Order: sequence, then structure tokens, then C-alpha cells
Amino acid sequence: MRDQVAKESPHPRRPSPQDYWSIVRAQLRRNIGGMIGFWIIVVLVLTALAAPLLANDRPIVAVYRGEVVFPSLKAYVDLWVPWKSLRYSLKSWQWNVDPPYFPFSEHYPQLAGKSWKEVDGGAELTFAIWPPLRWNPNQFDATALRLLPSASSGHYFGTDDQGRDILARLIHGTVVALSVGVISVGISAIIGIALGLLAGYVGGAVDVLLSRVTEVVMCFPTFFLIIAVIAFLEPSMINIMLVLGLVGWTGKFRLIRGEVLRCRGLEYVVAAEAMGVPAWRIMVKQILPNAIAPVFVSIAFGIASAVLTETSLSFLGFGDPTVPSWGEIVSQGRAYVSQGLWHLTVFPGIAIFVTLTAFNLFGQGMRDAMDPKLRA
Amino acid sequence: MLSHAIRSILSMIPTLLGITLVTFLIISLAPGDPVATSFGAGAGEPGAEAGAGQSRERLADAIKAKKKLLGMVREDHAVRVWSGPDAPVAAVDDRTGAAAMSALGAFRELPGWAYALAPRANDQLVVGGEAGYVLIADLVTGAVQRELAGGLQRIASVATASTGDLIAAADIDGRIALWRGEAVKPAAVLEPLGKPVRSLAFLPDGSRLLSACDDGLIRLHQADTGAVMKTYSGHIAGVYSLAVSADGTGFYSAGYDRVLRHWRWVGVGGEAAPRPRFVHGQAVNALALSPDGSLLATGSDDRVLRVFAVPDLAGDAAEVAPAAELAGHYREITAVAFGAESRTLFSGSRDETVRSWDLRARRQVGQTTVATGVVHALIGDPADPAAVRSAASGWVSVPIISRYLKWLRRVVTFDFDRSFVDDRKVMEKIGAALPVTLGLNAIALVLIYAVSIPLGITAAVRRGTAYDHVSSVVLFVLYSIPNFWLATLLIMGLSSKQTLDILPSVGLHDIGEQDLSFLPWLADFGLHLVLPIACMVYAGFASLSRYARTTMLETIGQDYIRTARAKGLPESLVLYKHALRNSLITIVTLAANLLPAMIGGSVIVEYIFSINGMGKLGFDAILARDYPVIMAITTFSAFLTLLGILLSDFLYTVVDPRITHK
Repeated sequence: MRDQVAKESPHPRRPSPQDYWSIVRAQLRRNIGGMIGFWIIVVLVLTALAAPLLANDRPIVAVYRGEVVFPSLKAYVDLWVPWKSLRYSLKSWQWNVDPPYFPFSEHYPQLAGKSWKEVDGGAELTFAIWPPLRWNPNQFDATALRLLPSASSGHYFGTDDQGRDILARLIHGTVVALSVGVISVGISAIIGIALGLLAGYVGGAVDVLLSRVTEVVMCFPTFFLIIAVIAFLEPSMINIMLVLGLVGWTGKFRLIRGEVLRCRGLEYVVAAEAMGVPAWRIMVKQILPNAIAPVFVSIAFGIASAVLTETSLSFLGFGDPTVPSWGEIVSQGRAYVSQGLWHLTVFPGIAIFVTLTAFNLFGQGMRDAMDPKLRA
Repeated sequence: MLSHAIRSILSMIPTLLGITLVTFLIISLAPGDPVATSFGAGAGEPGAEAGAGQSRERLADAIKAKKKLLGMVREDHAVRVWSGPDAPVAAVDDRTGAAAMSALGAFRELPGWAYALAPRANDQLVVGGEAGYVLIADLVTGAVQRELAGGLQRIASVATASTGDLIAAADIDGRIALWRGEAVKPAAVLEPLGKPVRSLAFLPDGSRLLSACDDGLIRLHQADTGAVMKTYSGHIAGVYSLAVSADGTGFYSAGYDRVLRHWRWVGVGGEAAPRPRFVHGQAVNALALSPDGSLLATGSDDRVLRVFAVPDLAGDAAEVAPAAELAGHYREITAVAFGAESRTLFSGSRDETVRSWDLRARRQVGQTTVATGVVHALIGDPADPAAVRSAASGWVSVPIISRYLKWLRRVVTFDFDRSFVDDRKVMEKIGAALPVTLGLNAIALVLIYAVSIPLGITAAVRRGTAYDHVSSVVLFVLYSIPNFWLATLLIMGLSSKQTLDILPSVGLHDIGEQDLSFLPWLADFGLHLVLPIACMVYAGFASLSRYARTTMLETIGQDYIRTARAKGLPESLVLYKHALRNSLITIVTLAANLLPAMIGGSVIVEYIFSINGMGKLGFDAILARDYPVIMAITTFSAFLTLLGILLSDFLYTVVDPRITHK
């Protein structure tokens, strides 16, 4: 029967030489919005990665007292060695390099309490390549409180109520927004996928139980719960990521569960079962690759909503006070709304808006690209 | 239909239980000292110099030596015994880095939260608390010896006469009951005053009783019959605390009006005129006279603990400066007490700590965390100079599950307890806030549906035209705007003195709205609604119209639409009768999904525009760690969400008669 149809049809269907993902990629390339979103995301990620080199009060490369040093790169060292104790223990092990000569070190005893900016132009600093924006996002400046944007002061986007440069905070805020978005959605995706596979494949009581739990979590007044948890815990990035991840998995769970239920009866799964492949292997190797596609769309939208939630939290004052968050700047804008400090509201708002739009556009593009009905 | 509704409601119960249990776990297990966790070790606490290891050993030794352990802390409704540090620093708490006091133990099995304490002769302690109980307990063993009956509501204050066998207690309705001797039945119960009597004090000779009421009056009673002999007026608001001077020549009072007043009798129990002695920053919750009668301490909402020298207060100077001001508590101070030697001062606070202060060194020497509870009363231990007893209400140290069950038992009768912050019934607060939020959301929901369904349908009908493209781009942009940003922009542009000042941005009414007649009132209300509603609806426009468009497109692609067209039906009939009605089914059910998001989103909108709805109530409750309110709000929002789901089930059947619930 099938052969007949193929013969009679004027455009005989041949098996596509491409695999699923290359079709999706080709579809996505045709989607203008999706591609705009994609490229904005690329720019955002690059900004986040290069933030210490874009806005910093230390030179990127400098020749200081005849030594070549890279003071800006210290931020990356901190990233590699994020735990204080570990860093200290490493220090006590004596890295066999004296701190002044260690190119990344923040300890330059010769600076004698001066900042890099004060040394600049002196005899000791013979050569320096500075970041384009010479402000540190956490640099307090009592002489420059709440400045409106102006090129002459060097604060192109103005300063906040502690004299910190807004543009520097926006650039470094990209790291905060993206890492909260990606890590929290990563957590929720892992939970959602694992539980969804389990519920869909094992079925029975496990399925009933997990679905019930999902229902409970879905009926939660989520935002209220998040505020409550963050208010009661230490307001740190890690906690915010964890909480967002722990309440956000229900959508992914339902998607995966539905897909698994669909796949479970398919021939290749039955064949694998008949061959005696262990259940976990069937779940991970056979079912998961065929069930995971819709989760990617959900991840893109999830990142947008996590960024929104994080900025809302910092707007309400529950953000991590030690990191520059876009929402926190907007909340200052609200506090000083009667003083005409428009830059505190407008710039961070645009940053949030662009990020949300990018991820939403990309998610939308992916959804369209994966939808066979819309396939050209 | 009915049986389906009942089944749906029954199936909601486990979900509700799950939600409340999780919330309960979170707020129960959360660490108790928010400032310490926010700002790191030792926030505002002086004196934590001693080496940690050494002092921990000393603490262990001290506990062994004391042997005052009154039993394990098993019940939340505990009267606790705290040991003040023998040495200036007893121990360094690992978490806060602050000097720690040790809780030596607690009385067992009180029938409810305790709110008032008084010492009694023969090593006895009088405890008053929730549900109107007055207990006489052994100060040493903690065993309850007698329970006094009196038909009172929640006890707000108790007092004992130092000479006779008199015990007085007063409740939050202003009923005062007096017991004499060993009798369980009260000798007298006075008519309720209608407002809480928050403080009682016997004169030193035991012949008279003073009561301080929230109506701002202090009354002098006959100690045996309770008959009112004199009424002293002078405070302009509720009086929260009284202290009778040791020589019986006068008394001190303070309360909500922030003023500490000294009253001197002309002849004991006669006329008295108040003299304002000191104006605190905020309401004064507690007064305490030292055992030797030389010092008076006040605890205030302004978080500063003040100590006055009694000779200064009795003197003629117009203004009295405190002899010491002790800062360290980061929330309102609710209770103060002196140790037996008049040299140690203890204070309890809403920050859920009890701290001890050395008055000679004028600094804090000890601290303990009550975990999650407010210290309502403290009395110094007459026998042990370093110990203090506190009546703390809190959800402490009981297995969480039994606390949860206790909470559940009350909630079944819609008793959500009273707010920790202002003692109002939680149901009252919810009752005031819920209609506001529901009303706002209802208006927003109607607007969203009224605007976005036509938008989406038109876009679907004109698929591929410029209208479709433009509207989808505009709506997409709207969808990505964070609402707190839009709200701030709107306030900046439309209701700031700097720019246009045409729309109000605070609350739902102007001040004085009660005096307006209906139409101006409505106009005022409408103007106040514009900005909040605008911030609540725009995201809904985007998502719902998009959804309506997709659904409509899907429906238009169906075979029966092609059939209808083939029949030669006019296009309008095809679209609006055949297609629209069928696509409405899924759109209507979205209302249920919108509801929880809207309730969550109302936190931000209500916070920004200072609207006293559920969102703001919840936000404030979280900030104030007002556990009963937090629990109630979670329960209500979850319940509303479930109700929304149920509602959409019913809407299904209304829109699509083919669907029946059997």
C-alpha cells in the first residue's frame, strides 16, 4: 500500500538525508526573529564572559616596575577558585611565586594603598592597556552620587546612589542575569527530565505520586513562595538559583512525561526491551533523545522567566546585595523617581527588556522550527 | 455535575495539605536570625572577643554546674529559663559569632502560648496565656501546681501582690479577674473594658491594684474587690506597661504615645498628676524597675534599651536623660527585666532573641536565639542573679509535624490565629485584603479577555497581512517588558512632579475619600486604578491574544470549516459561528492558568502602588516574619488557584455542551 502511494504521488517522499536537528537548524535560520534572538544572546554571553575586561578599574595588561602583569584577569582566577577556603589553602601552600610577581594577583604591595588609577601616568607604570570603561561595578564614590549621564564625568550612563557607575553595573549585571537564568533552568531541567522519564516510563504508583507532587508545586503561589524562601534564607545568588530551579521543573516534567508516554509503545523501545536492555539504558539512550526536543523550547522561555524573576526579586530588595543586579538599579530608580533620575530606571530596564526579548524570540523561533505543521 | 464538583473539591484537599505543609516546613526550618544571616557575623553585637573553643568549654562547665535544667524543651508554649553568662562572655555562637546565653530549660506542657509572667512568693511563678489560662507553676521544677479558672480570653497581663495571696490577671478584652489565697475560682471578675489591659501592678502593700488599658486610662482598683477607685488620664493612647515604685509613692507608665510618665501620689492611692519624663522614638512596650529600686529600664519599638536612674526621674528636672542607652536589638523590644542584683538587664525582642546586658560595662554580654518566637514577657529570677525567665510564644522545638497538625486543627475552623505584628486576627486582615486583590484581578481579567480575544481573532482572520505582523510584533514586545519596570516608567512619566502629574500612584483612594459623595468617589477610585491595572493587563494581552490567534488558526484549518465554506455559508457566519465558538473552548480554560500568575504578580503591583491587597499583606508579613499571616496567605492563594481550575472545568461545559462531567 505504502509503495503504491509512493509510486503514484507526483512528489515521491524520499527519506530525508538530514537528521532531525539539522532540519530544525535549517528551519531556525529562516526565522528572522529567532535569529535576531540568537545573535543577541550571543552578544550577551560574550559581554558576560568579557565583563571584567570591558569594565574594570584595573588595566588589562600593564608593565609595572618592569614586570608584565594582568590585573583584570583576577576576576577569572576568582571564578576558577571560587571557594575562599580553597583559595586560602592554596595561598598557604605558597604557589612558589611571590604575590607581586604573580601576574593575576590583586596584591601589589608596591602600589602602597594606591589604586591603579592613581598610579596611571606615573613612572612605575610604563605601559598599560585599559578596559574601555574604567570603572569597577562595586566601586563606591562619595563624590559622584546620583550623577546624570554625561560624557565629561566619564559616567556615560550616570551613577547610582552610592556613586557606582551604571554602565559598569549593567555590563557586570549580564553575568548575574545569565548565570541565574542558565543555572536555575539547568537545575529545573535536570529535575524535570529525570522525574518525567521516571514517571512516564515506570508508570503506575510512581507516576501517580509524581504527577500529584507536580500538581502541588504547580498550584503554589510560586512568586510568593520564592520571596518567602529568599527572605528567610541568606539572599545569595546560589540560593536564588536553587529556589528558582526547585520550583520551575513542573513544565518540563509534564512535557517529558507526555513524550515518554508517546515513545514507550514505539517499536524500537519494545525491541530494546525484548533484547533485555536495562530500563535505565532504555530511558536514557532510546527514549530521552526522542523526547527531549520540546524541553529545549521550554528551556529558552524558562531562562527568560528566570531572568525576570531574579530582577523582580532584586527590585523588591531580595537580591544578592554583593553582586550588581539590573533589578536593584531599577528599584533605586523607583526610590528616586521624584528627583528626575531617569537613567536609574531606563538603562537597566532596557537591559532586562532586551534580554527577555532575545530569549523569548529564540524560544519562539525554536518552537516554530520544531513544529512540523509550520515546516515549509 | 454536583457529584463532580464535590469530587473535585475533595481532590483539592491533598494538594492544599501538601502546599501548606511545604510552606510550614520552609518557615519552620529557616534560620531565625535574618539580620545575622544578611549582614554576616556579629551584626550590631558588641563584645564577642573571647576565643571560641575556650568559651564553649566554659559554657559546658557552666551548664553542668548549674543543674537547673528544667527538662527538655519539648513544647512550644514554653516558659524558658535562660542562664545569663557568669563571665562577661559565656560562649561564642558559631553562627552569629555573638556571645550566647544558654537556655537552661523550659516548663513543660503549657496549654497554649504564654503571654504574661509574674513571680510569686514560695518559689512560684504565675503564667498567663492563650485561651485564658492562668497557671501557678513551681519556679524550680516547672511543674504546674494549680490552674486558675476565670472565664477570661487570652491573658495579656498577670500580677501578684508581694504581701498577700492575691493574683490578678487581665485579658485582651479588658476583663480583670482576681484570685485570693489558694482558691481556684476568682474572687472577682470585672466587666470587660472592651480593650486589652496590657499591664497590671499591685502596690507594695498589696492593698491596691493598678491596671493599664489600651483606652489610654490607668485605673486604681481596690485589691480585694476590684472596684475602681480612681481613674488617671494623661496618656493620649494605649498604656502598655506600668511599674510601681518600690516605696509605693508613685508609679511609672508608658505606652503607644511614646512618653514615659511618672505619677506621684498625694497620699498613697489618692490623686496623682503625670509628669512626662522622656519621649521615646516609638511606642514603649515594657518597663521594669530593678529589685533595689534604683533603676528603671524601658524597652521600645525604637529598638533601643534605655535605663534611667530613679532619683533622676523623681527629681524636678523638666527633661530626664537616660543613664544608659543600649543598642543591639534589630527589632522592637518587647520585654525587659532585671537580674536579682540589679546589675544585669535582660531584654526580649521581636528579633527573636533574648539578650543580657551588663549595666556597669554598659554592653551586651549574652544572647540567645528563641528560634522562631517573640518574647512577650521576662522576669528576673529572684533567687538566681544570672537567670531570667521568659514567656515566649513561638513554634519552637516541637516536632514540626505536630506543630503542623496543631495549626491544621485550628485552620479547619478558619482560625488562622493572630498576627504577630499587631495582634489582629489574621482572618480580619485577610478579609480586608482579599476583596482588593480579587477585585483588581477581576477587572484586569475582564479587560484582558475583552481586548485580546478580538485582537487575536482578527489577527488570525487576517493572517499574513500587515495588521497581523504589526500586532504580533507589538504584542511580543509588550510580553517582554518586566512589569516593575513599566510601573516605574509610568510613575516617572505620569505621576511625578518632575513630568506630568496627572495620575495618582499611591493606594486606591486619596486621603479623605470617606467624605466624597458617590460620583467624585468613583472618579477618584477610577483614576487610582489606571496605573495598577495597566501594569496588570499588558502581559495578559500579549499571551492571550497570541493564544487566541493560534487556536483560531488551528480551528480554521479544520475540515468542518472547509465544509461550511463549501456549503456556501457567508464567511462571517463561518468565522464567528463555526470557528470562533470552537476555538473559545481552549481560550476560556486559560483563565485558570492566568489566576495563580496574577495573584503572584499582584505582589509587585501592590508593592509599587502601595495597594493593601493580599500581595502587599504577604510581602509585609514576610518582611516582619509574621508566620500566621504567611501561612494564611499561602493557604488562601493555593485555594484560589485550585478554585480557578475548578471554575475552568465548569466553563468548559458551559462553552462546549458536548463535554459533561459524570
